[in-house]
Amino acid sequence: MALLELKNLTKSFGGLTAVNELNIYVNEGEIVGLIGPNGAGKTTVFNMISGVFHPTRGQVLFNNKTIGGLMPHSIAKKGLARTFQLTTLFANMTVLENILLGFHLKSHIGYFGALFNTASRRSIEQRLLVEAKEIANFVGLELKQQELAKNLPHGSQRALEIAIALAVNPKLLLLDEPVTGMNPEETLEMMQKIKEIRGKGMTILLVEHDMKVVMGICDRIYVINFGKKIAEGSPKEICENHDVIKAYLGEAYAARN
Amino acid sequence: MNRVKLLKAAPFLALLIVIILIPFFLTNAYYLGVITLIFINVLLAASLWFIITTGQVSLGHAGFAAIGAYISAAMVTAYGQSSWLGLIVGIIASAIVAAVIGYITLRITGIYFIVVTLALGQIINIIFGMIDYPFGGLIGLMDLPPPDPIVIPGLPAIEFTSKISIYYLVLVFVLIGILIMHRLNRSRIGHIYDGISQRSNLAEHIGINIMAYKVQAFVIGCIFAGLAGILYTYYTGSIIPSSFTLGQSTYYLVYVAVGGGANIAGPILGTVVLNIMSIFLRPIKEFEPIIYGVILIVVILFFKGGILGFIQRLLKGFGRSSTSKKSNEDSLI
Amino acid sequence: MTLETLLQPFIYGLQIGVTYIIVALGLTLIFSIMNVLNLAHGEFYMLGAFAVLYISSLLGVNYFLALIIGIVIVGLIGVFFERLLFSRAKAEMIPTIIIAVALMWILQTSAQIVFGRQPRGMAEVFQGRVTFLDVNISDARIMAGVISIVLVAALYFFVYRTKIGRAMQAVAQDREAAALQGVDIEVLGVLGFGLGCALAGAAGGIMAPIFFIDATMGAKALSTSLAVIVLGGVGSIPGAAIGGLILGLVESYGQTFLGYPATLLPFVIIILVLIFKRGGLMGRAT
Repeated sequence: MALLELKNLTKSFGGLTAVNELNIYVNEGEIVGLIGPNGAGKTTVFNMISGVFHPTRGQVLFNNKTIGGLMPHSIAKKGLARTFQLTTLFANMTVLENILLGFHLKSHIGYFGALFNTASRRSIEQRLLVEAKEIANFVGLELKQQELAKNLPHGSQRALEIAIALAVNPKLLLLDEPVTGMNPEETLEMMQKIKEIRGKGMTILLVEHDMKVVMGICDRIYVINFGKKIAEGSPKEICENHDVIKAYLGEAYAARN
Repeated sequence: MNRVKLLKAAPFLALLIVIILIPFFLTNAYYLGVITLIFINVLLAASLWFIITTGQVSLGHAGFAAIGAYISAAMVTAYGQSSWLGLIVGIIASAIVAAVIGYITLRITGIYFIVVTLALGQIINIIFGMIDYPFGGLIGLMDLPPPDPIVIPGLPAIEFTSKISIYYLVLVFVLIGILIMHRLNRSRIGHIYDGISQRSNLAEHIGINIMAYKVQAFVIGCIFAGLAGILYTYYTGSIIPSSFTLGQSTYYLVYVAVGGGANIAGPILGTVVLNIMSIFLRPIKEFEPIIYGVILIVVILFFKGGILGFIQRLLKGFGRSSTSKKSNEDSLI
Repeated sequence: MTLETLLQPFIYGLQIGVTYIIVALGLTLIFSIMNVLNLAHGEFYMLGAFAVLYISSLLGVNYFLALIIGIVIVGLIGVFFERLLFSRAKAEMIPTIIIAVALMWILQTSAQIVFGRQPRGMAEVFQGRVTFLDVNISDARIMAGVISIVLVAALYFFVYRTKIGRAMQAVAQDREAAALQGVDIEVLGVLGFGLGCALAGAAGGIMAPIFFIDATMGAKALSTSLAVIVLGGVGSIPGAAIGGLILGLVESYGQTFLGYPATLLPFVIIILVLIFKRGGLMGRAT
C-alpha cells in the first residue's frame, strides 16, 4: 500500500485544466521527484495534496484514507508537511521561535496552561526548546538560533523552512523547489540533508527544476506537462525518455537526438 | 521569582503602587472619575489590541461594550437581579454574540472584515436604540443603581456608593483583564496568534486551526469589551446609545495605533497619553479632533510601532538590549 | 395603501439612488485604483455641498456654475491630501485606514469650526413642484436626478471610451500588468483619488438644494456608499449603478414604512452580502 496515492487527480480553474487525471503513488521511504516545465501544474498538485485547493475530480489518498478537500491543518495533523515555492517563514520571529511554532501539533497547548504557566506547561516548553535546537543543528542553523528569520541569508531561510516542516514530524514531506536560489555548495548540502531526512524514516515527494538534484537523490521520477503525466521511471529511464526531452527542450532538439 | 524577573517587574509594581495610592492624595471626585474613565478606556484599547494580534481589525468594538452595558443594566433595572448576576450575564452575552458573529465572519479577512465589524457595531447600536423596554431606546437608561455591596460574613460590607469605591472596583477588573491578556499574549497562545497574523498559510500548514484561534481571540477581546461597558455603567450610572458609536470604536483603534502594537504596553500607553492630552485640550475642546487627527497622522507615518516602538528604540539606543527579539517596527501596527 | 404611497418613495428612491451612484463610484474608484478604503469619503461629500453653497452665495454665480467650480475644488483638495498623506502610507491597510480616520476627524471638525454647527440650506435655488401620476416631486429633486444621470453618463463615457479611463480600468484590474504596459501608476493614482473625491463632492453639491447642509452630513454618505459598493461588488461600475439604485429605494421605502429602524438596512446589507457573496452582485463569488 502506497503512503500517498493520487488517483485521476484533476483540478480545473474555470475553463483552464491545470492538472489532468494524474495518477501517482509514493511508497514509504521513497524519495520521489515530480518534474516538468514551468506551468506544468506541479505546485497545483502540491496545493491539492496539502489542502490549499479542493480537487475538482479524483482522489488524494494518504495512508489509504481520502484527504482531498480537508483543511491544511487537518492534513498536517495526519502527518503531512510541506515547504513552499516562495520563501514562507514567520519573518519577524527568530529561528528557534519559527521551529517552536512548528511543534504546534505536539505542544498540547491550552488556554489554561498558557495563562497560569503551569509546571506541566513549562516542562513541555523546555523539552520542545531542546528539540528545536536539535532540529536547528540538523539543518545547519545552530549558530543562527536567535536571528530573526527575515535577516537570514537565502540559503539559511530555505533551511529554516525545512526545519519548520520537520518540526511537524511528518510521515510525508513535500518539498517545493528546495534549492531555488542556492549556490552549488548549498545545493549539495541540501541534497545530503534530504537523504538524511529519508534516513530518519520520512518519505519525500520533491518538486525541483535542478536536474542534478532530481537525478542525484530521487528513487523514482514523474514527469508532467500541461497537467498530464508524460513519463515515469528511474532517473536513468527519464533521462533517455524521448517525450521528456521533447517537453523540456522542444521538438527540434528531440528530433536531432 | 528569580532576580531578573523581579528587576524587570519593578517599574510596573511601582506604578501599580502609585495607582493604588492615588485616591489617598487626589481626593477630588472629578479627577478620580477622570482616571477611572482612563482605566476603562485602557481595557477597551487592550482588548481591541488582543483581537488585532491575530491580524484582524475590528471597528465594531464599541458595539460589544454596548452589549455588556445594556444587558447587565437591564438585568438590574428591568429584571430586578443583583448587579453581580447582571455582570456575569452581560459578559456571557458579549461572549455569545462574539462567538456567533466570529464564527460566521472571521473567514472574511482583511479590509472586508473591518467593514463587517463597522457595520456590526452600527447595527448593535441602532438595535439598542430601537428598543424602549428594557433598554431605554434613544434616551437610554438613567439613574442606574450602584453595584450591590459585597458581603463577606464576618467583615463589613463593601459598598460601592462612593467614587473611590468605583475607582478601585474598576481598577481591579481592568488589572485582571490586562493580566490575562498579557499572559496569553506572552505565552505560546500569543505566539500562535502572531504566526496567524504574520503568515496564516504557513500557520495552517503546521497544524494550526486558524479559524478556531481567531474566533477565540475575538471572543476574549469582546468579553473584555463587554466588561468595560459594564464598568462604564458603574462609573456613569447611566447608558446612552451615543456612548457606543463608530466614533468610539475608532478611538480605541487610534489608542492602539498611537501606542503601538508590539505588546500590551502599547495600547495602555496610547490610551493614557491621548486621554491625558485630551484633559489638557479641554479649553479648546472644539479643536481636539483636529489635533488628535494630526498626531495620529504623524505617529502613523513617522513613528512606526507607535509610542511603544519609539520607546523601545530609545532604550536599545542606550545600550540596554531589548529582551524581546521581536522587531516592533514590523508588528501589525 | 394607495398607489401614491407606493409610487412616491419609488420616485424619491430613484432620485437619491442615482446620486448615491455617484458617491459610490468615487469610493470604488479610489479603492480599486489605490487600494485605499477612503473612510473620509463622506467628508468630501460634505465639502462639496458647502462649496456649492458658499460659491454661489459669495461669488453670486448661479447654481450650475457653482456646482462645477465646487467639484473642481473638492477634487483638488482630494489630490492635496493624497499627495500629503496617502502616498506616504504606501497602500498598507492599517496605516491607510488610520489616516483616513484622521482625515475624517480633521475635515469634519474644521468644517464645524469654519462653517458653524447650524444646518444650512439651498432650498431657494429650485422652487416649485411637479405632480404627475399622483406623485409630488420638487423641482429640486428633479434637477438633482437629471444632473446625476448626466454625470453618470459622462463618467461611463470617460471610463469606457477614453484612454485615461481605460488606463484606470487596467490599473484597477492588475496593477503590475498595467505598469508593465507603460501606464504611469502614480499619476493615475493621484488622478483617481482626485476624481473620486470630486465625485463625492459632486454628489454633495447635487444634494445641496434638497437636504440640510451641515458638517456631519458625511457620515451617512459614507455608510451608504459603502453599502452600495459592497452590494454591487467593489470595483464594479455597473455594480455601483445597480447598488446605488437599490440602496436609494431601500432608504426611501425604509424611511416611509419603518422610520428609525430603517437606518439599520445599509449595514444589514453590508453584512449579508459579505457573508454570502463577498463579490457582491456583479463581482466574483469568493
